[in-house]
Amino acid sequence: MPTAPLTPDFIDRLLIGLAGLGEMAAEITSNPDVKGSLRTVLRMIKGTFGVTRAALIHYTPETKRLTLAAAVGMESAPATTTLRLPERSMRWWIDHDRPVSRSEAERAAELRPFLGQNQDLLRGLPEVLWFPLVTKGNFYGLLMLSEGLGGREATDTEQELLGVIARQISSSLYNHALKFQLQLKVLELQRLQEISRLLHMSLNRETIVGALVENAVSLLDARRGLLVRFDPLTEAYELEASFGFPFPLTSERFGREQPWLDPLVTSEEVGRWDDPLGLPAALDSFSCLAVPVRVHDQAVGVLAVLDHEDGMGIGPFSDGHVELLTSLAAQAAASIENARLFELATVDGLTKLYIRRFFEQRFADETRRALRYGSPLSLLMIDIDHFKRFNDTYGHATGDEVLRLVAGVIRKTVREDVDIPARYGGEEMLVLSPETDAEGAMRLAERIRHAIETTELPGPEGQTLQVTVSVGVATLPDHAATDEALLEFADQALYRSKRAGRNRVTLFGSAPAPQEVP
Amino acid sequence: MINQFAVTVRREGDVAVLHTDGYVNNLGGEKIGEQANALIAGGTTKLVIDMEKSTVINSIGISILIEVIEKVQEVGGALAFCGLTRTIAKTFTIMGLAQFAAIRDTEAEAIAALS
Repeated sequence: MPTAPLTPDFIDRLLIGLAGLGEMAAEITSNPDVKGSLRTVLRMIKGTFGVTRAALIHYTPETKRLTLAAAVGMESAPATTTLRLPERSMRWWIDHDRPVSRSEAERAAELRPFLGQNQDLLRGLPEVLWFPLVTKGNFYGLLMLSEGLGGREATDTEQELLGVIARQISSSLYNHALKFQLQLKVLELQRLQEISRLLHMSLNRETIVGALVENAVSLLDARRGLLVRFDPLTEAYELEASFGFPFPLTSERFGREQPWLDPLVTSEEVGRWDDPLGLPAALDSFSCLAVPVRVHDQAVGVLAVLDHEDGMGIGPFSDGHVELLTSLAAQAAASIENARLFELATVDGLTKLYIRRFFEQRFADETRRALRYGSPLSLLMIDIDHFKRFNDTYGHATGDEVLRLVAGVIRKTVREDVDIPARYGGEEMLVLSPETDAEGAMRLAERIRHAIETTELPGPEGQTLQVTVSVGVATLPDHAATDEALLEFADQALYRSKRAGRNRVTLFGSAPAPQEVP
Repeated sequence: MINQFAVTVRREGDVAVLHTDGYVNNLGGEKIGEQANALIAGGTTKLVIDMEKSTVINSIGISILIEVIEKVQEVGGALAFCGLTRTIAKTFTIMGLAQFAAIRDTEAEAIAALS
């Protein structure tokens, strides 16, 4: 601080400055409304140091723009003034954390792009002294002051005092930014919790991964997202879910080899790209953030979000996004694993139909529900005609193919998440159809029978195998009042289909139906 | 009573005299500013601000008085203060307000300074 003679005038001026400083500090620390507080502080600067015009322009790192936040003595200033601040110029301000005169700014090569790009707008702003607002290496804006009344220049002491205020303002903006980030983080965590709850509600992998990708895109302000399944044994990738692509992103288009994802599944790395050349052309994206989905320390997939919307277009993903997506992937991994365990415990590995034990539990539940509410409940018992012949003639591998074919047709024909298809034992399968009367159950049975009859299965020697099924149908309460009786009557109806020549459906208590084309 | 502020206007020929009463802070300053703006808009270009009953002023109050001085200058008028405490008079002098507005002891002297 330059030494000034301690004249009475100097001391009085210093006292006025210090008194003003006290008022400003109180205003900055006590007013929760930052923007209102900034305008008040500018008025205090005007009243304390006699400057005619003062303005504060606030820096937004996301947009790399400076916006007029408050001004005094500039009634004609436009409501919105936005200046571009190149990175190089911003760095210069951080390195020069002290008052800078306009002439000094013009001599700095780093500020030339800033001064040049904003020439017209700067002309309307105070430009005698500029104070960079810097705290902890972060740049928050500029305090811009004009000359004093009658063209008086601020003394060195006044500049020192104004520097103190500039630091107070930048601290306040820093705290405000922290508070804002904290509020955002709370919101993000609340959403993360909601998404986790949503994912945990389902035990169906397809539902989980679909919801996961869609919510990850929304949570991270991305345009697109995808989940890739990774098989650790074959080291192959398979596209499992995608969201937001303006074109169909199919498995064929995406491919099974994805070398860009290899580091993610082999180590615990996170992938971040902000160059389209680093990404597969099939994705047609500019930026990407991808994290592995790990179960028991083994990567089972990769969750990726693409093209982050940063308010000015597409931008890179931040460190905060990495944390968020990593948390989401960890939550999703638990849900995906739960779904896998559920499938393992309830689904037959060969046919992908429910196992008998799970079916019996659901059968008892659905029977209770149907009796309580007086709603119909139908049961289809399906048996593959001459199944033993397939095994004996072509071997067990072909027998398994026949089972897969029939089960596949059943799965595709029944109502998803409503009907309960199960492998009851050997070549016998069941479909429990809630809220379905005898007429509806017969239509379903006939659709299954016809679909199997018309599906060609290639045999081991290139021949076409003809597979047919016989079906028995019974309905509660028309035919039975208990689950045991319903099962027994469906079995009896199946027996009648077999006796009548196979490849047909029979409703309990009726004659076997002739083969129909629905 | 420091939070209560009043400003009254008295005409003395082509001069408008504003009598202030209370703490000239942001509220008090704004009341002075509103009255001064209304007078200037009505064609009055000579203003006297008598602050005999205002013994305390803060930086926002001063900033508003600077704005009043600037407005008076824009219309080619003149402004004078009177009834200032020694501290306020000294502050105005140090701040440079005295270069653009006469500071007098009495109202009569202030009016005379504008003619």
